[in-house]
Amino acid sequence: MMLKRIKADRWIIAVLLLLLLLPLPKLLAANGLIAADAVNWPPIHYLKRSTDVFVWAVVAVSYDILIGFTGIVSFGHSLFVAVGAYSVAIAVMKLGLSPVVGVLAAVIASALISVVVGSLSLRLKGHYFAMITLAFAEVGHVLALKLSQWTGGEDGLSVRVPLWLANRTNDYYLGLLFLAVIFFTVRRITESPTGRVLAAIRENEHRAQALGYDVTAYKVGAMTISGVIAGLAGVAMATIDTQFAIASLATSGPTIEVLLMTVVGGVGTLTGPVLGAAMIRLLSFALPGLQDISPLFARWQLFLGLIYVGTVMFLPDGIVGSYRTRVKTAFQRIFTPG
Amino acid sequence: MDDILQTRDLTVRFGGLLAVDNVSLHVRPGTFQSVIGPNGAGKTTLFNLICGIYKPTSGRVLFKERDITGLPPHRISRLGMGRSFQITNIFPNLTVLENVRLAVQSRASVGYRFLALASSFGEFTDKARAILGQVGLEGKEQTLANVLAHGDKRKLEIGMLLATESELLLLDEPTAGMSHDDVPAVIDVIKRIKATGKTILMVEHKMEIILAISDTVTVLRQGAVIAEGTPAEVAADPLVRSAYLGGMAV
Ligand SMILES: Nc1ncnc2c1ncn2[C@@H]1O[C@H](COP(=O)(O)OP(=O)(O)OP(=O)(O)O)[C@@H](O)[C@H]1O
Ligand SMILES: [Mg+2]
Repeated sequence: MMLKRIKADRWIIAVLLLLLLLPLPKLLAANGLIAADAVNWPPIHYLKRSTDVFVWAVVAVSYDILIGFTGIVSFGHSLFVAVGAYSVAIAVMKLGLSPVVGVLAAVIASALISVVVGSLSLRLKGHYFAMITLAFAEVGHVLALKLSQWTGGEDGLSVRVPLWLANRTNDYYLGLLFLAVIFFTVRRITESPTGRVLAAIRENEHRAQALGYDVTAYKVGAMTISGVIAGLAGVAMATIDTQFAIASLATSGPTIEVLLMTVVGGVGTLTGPVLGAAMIRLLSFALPGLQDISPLFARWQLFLGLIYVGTVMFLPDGIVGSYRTRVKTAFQRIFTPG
Repeated sequence: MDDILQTRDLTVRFGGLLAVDNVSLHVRPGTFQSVIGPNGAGKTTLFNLICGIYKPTSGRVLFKERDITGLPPHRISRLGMGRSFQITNIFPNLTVLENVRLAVQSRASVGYRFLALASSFGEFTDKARAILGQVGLEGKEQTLANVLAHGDKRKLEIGMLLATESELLLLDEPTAGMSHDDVPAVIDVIKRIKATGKTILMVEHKMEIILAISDTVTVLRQGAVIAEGTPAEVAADPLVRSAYLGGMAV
């Protein structure tokens, strides 16, 4: 059983090992185990970009709980990232509390807001639900702008973190650990009795209800788990990534980017959204830099749009989803009797 | 009263259409009652009222002497009322085994255990396999439900219903759209369920089935009950013959 699992996960394990080992020299240097000025590889840049990918991958994984495993599409998901980021930023910068209190506040706030938004909106179907979530996120955005004595208004709140967190190598490893813990926890949830019910709801909501499952309660539950994880990603953003909380996090822009990551990588696959997060974050960082080559790259979002359209048209199950289907069909073709 | 199910003057209107009109049913425990009537008579709508999918315009539903009018479908289901659907209603991209396993799981209160592993509840899987055997789907456990042949999908539905261990089963045309060869197997399963002492309320069009296994037959036309009695009584009723059976071979 265990061996089978490891075999199935060999790619994930290989990538994890690689990511763990790459900045090892830096880790040793950062903690005074070897002379610091002897190590300038990998560059700070690699660490920063990777940490950013890890954090957004967590958001994408949390989004996959909704879109992939429960079948609900929210346009307000990044509201929870904003809630997490502001919780820790306000706790530390405005109230002078420890970041740990900020983390707790983030969990509680994102859970409460998930339950409220979920209970008010999940009774609505399909695009009505999507519209309501968008509206809630917009309310969050406006509040973040207006309550400027708490949120810093348009400028946002910069977070002064403890010294050991101001170190990019430590941030990198924390981000990687964070992603790994969330990834395996979420995967476990999808394989739990609850996860199976969520899949049933995705497949056929009315049938699930006729079997005696309280569909609304399960959906609110899924939204809460997903919202808390997104909130934690917000905390990570404000402490180890950008070290910043900004109102625009709650707009539809970041949510659409996360939708893109999930769809391109493969809805309902968990590894897909991680891969999608890496692709989209790195592209949206690299593409604007290509403006010297062609002014077309000033409109770099266009390329993300093309990738989206291309995926939907040619790989409707996303990269990982299509890969899996292909392997499975090949397998079935060989082994199905008759 | 010791009826397991009663409807009292149950009525529902869709705009101008009186789809179910003052229907009062009395279903006694352990009996097999059929509801027949021409297309559009309101049979499916009656079932939807009983199991909570629709709210009645007026009238009440009592299940095990408890007023369940207005309760949501999942609550009614958990009280011990199971339902199968006229139009195949399964989880299409899950395996056959998982479809039934979910039905088994619905009766245990483990659904909110999000950090447990579903695979550690082996008893659910064992029970699901046993049920698949009962309905003649052994060997198809790992097939995706949506690629099953139509007859097998109907069997799967009955399997899911059995898995809920409901005391009262509502079967809405369990043989609808089945090929002739598949029908006897399904009738067999239904007879076996009947023999276990469960109460069954069934909508069917195939008269030979109804006459063979029903204790009571209720005839609906345009939403209203026009006759009720033993199969023989109903078959002999002139009103029924003209309204419904006239065009059909009995
Ligand atoms: N949700 C609804 N809204 C409006 N009209 C409805 C609704 N559901 C059912 N009806 C109407 O109610 C009437 C009864 O329909 P119902 O499906 O109950 O008939 P039935 O007896 O099950 O017929 P069949 O034998 O074809 O299954 C039909 O005229 C149908 O169009
Ligand atoms: Mg019908």
